[in-house]
This record gives sequence, structure tokens and C-alpha cells, in this order.
Amino acid sequence: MDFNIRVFTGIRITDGLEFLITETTVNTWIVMGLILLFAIIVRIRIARVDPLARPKGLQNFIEMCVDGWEKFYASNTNPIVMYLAPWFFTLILFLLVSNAIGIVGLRPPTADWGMTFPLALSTFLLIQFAGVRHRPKSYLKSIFLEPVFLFAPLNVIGELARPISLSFRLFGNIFGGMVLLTLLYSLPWFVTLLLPIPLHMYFDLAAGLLQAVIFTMLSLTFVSLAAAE
Amino acid sequence: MNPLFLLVNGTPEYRSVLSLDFQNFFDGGPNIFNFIVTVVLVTWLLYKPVKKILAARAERIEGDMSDAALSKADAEELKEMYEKKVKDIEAERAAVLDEARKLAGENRTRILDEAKVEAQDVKDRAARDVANELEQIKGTVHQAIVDISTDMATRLIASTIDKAAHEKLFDEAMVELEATTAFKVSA
Repeated sequence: MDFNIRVFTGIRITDGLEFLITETTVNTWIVMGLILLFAIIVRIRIARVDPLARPKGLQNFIEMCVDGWEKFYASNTNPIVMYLAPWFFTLILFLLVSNAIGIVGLRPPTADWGMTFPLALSTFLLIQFAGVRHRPKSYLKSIFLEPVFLFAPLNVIGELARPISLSFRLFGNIFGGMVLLTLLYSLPWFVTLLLPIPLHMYFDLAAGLLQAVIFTMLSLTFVSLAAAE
Repeated sequence: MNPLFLLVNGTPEYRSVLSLDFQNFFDGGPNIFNFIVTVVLVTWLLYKPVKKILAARAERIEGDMSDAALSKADAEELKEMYEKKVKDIEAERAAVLDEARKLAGENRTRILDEAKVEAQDVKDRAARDVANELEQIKGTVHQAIVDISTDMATRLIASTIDKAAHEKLFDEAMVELEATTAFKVSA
């Protein structure tokens, strides 16, 4: 039983620094593959149907998802950051599949801080980008001069803490679930017959969904707040 | 060693999940690159085409709704026109009805007057007939009385008078008759 991340191979760049193909990387490719396979199927189906006809089946489902997401996003964020809706749509989709992949016995990519931190870092960069793009003066003022300039270090630490807290929240929850389930499978065989089913339902699906929603909601709220006056 | 060979054969080495060294941060590079690729492809393959379809459908619905609004306006106009026509017809009907009532009243009065006159004529004619009948009846009754009286007088005289009295009476009557005739001749 090892909770560490398996490394398949690596390319040495410098001393102590390698480009590693880890279990997280491979599972991320699997997640990407599943999402892109779904996207390709949808694209092919959409290309065949009359766009003005009444939607049904998969087309109806995906239209409901995209339209529902657009409405949800519009109601929870500032309209000036609507152009980021596809980013957050992909983020929640990616997190949902990543968190749920443990149900087929694969290690969730989000159970690696090396995955959750870059995602949170991207949110941090988006926050700074939205703030500087939409209200540069007031945004920089809110960090360095509010309430007075003496609080600037605290504000900067607060900003830097966001990706840390976001990434550790997601990583901790998913990794914790994975550890519990791994420990469960080390129990005698008769215990592992039925008990994993509800636990997988909770840790992989329910908690996975919850953490995906929390991460995405917090990210888009931070970005929206940064962009708004 | 070829990385692909290692990937296929699997050389299990492990990296600590909680090591916060530079290597861990560096591992995030490929991961975020993978995610960005996913975002680009999902946006290109799924999100934008679906949004395009939704926009096209929304545009068509907008068009249908504006057509429906135009049709509704036309229908409203038509409805107003028909309502006006119905009102005009109502007014015309009321006017025709009034005219008919008035005409019927006049006809009624005229017919009643004519009937009254005719009835009066009939009544007068009947009165005259009654008077004539009455006169005829009076004459008939008078003649009957005279006849009966004469008959009764004859019978009475026949039963009560003797021959001498009869002759005396006859003579007196003759005298009177002669006197009456002489008077008439001299006159």
C-alpha cells in the first residue's frame, strides 16, 4: 500500500529536476481523452442534425448543460467576464471526471497537489488578469493602498493564499477519500464485498461533485470580484 | 532508455505526494498544459458549436416572435375593423327596427281607423235594417190586429144582433156611407 505517486518515466533536465511522466499525468491524459471523446461525439452529432430542428437525445442533453451553465455563470458573475465561461465550464467538467475516475480504480489526478496547485495557480493568474484588465487602477489600489498602504503586505499574502487554500482544499478532500478507500481495500476480503460501493458513491461521486463545484464556484467568484468595480 | 518503453513496461518508482519541492511545482507544468489543451479543444469542439446552435435557435425564435407580434397586430387591426362593422350593423339594425316599428304603428293606426269606419257603416246599415224590419213588423202586426178585431167584431155582432137591429145598423151604415160619398163627390 503506497499513497505516493507512481512515476513511469522521466527525462532528466538538470540535476535534481526531471520531466516526469507520473500516474497523475497518465490519468490526466485518460481524463482528457474521455472529455475529448465526448466532445468529438457531440461535435459529430451536432454536425449531422439540423441546428434549427427540435433537439433530442445527446444534443438536447449537451444543449441543456451549456445553456444551463451560461445562465448559472451569468447569474453568479459579472457580465464583463462572460468570455471566461468556457474556461470554467471545462474546469468543472475536468474536475468532475477527475474526481470520479477513482470509481474505476484509477488514482484521481486531483489527488495530487501537483495537479490541483497549477489549477489554482491558473485561477490566481485569471484573478490578476481580470482585475488588471477591467479596472487596473482601482484593483491595484485595492491591493496596495486599501485600507491604508501599511496593509499592502497583508493584502498580498491574502492574494497569494488563495491558490494555496484552493489547491489544498481540493487535494486534501480527494486524497483523503482515496486514502480511506485504499485502506478499506486492505481489509479482509469479505469486508470489501459490498462496503466499498456506498463509500465510492460518497467519496468519488458525492464528495467529488461537491469539491468540483466548490473549486469552480470560488474561482469564478474571485475572478468576478476582481473584475468588478 | 526510451521513455515510451518505460511507459509500456512500467518501472514503478514513486514520488512523494506531499513533497513540496521544486520538482513538484515543475510537475505541475505538464498538468496545466494538459488542462489548457483540454480547455481549447472543449471550447472548439463542444462549447462554441453548441452556443452557435443555441444562438441560431434563439435568433429564429426571436424572428418567429416578431412575426407573431406582427401577425397579432394585423389580427388586432382586423378585429377592430370587424368590431366596428358589427357596431355599424347593430346601429343599422336598430334603425331598421325603429323604422319598421314606426311603419307598423302607422299601419296599425290606419287599419284600426278603417276598421272603425267599416264597423260604423256595418252598424248603421244594421240599424237601418232593424228599423225597416221593425216598421214591417209593425204594419204586419197592425193588419193582424185589424183582421182579428174585425173577425171578433163580426163574430160578436153575429152572435148578439137580431135581424131588425142588423137592418137598422145596415141602414145607418149606408146613410153614413152615402153621406161620406156625397161629401166626397161635392168636394
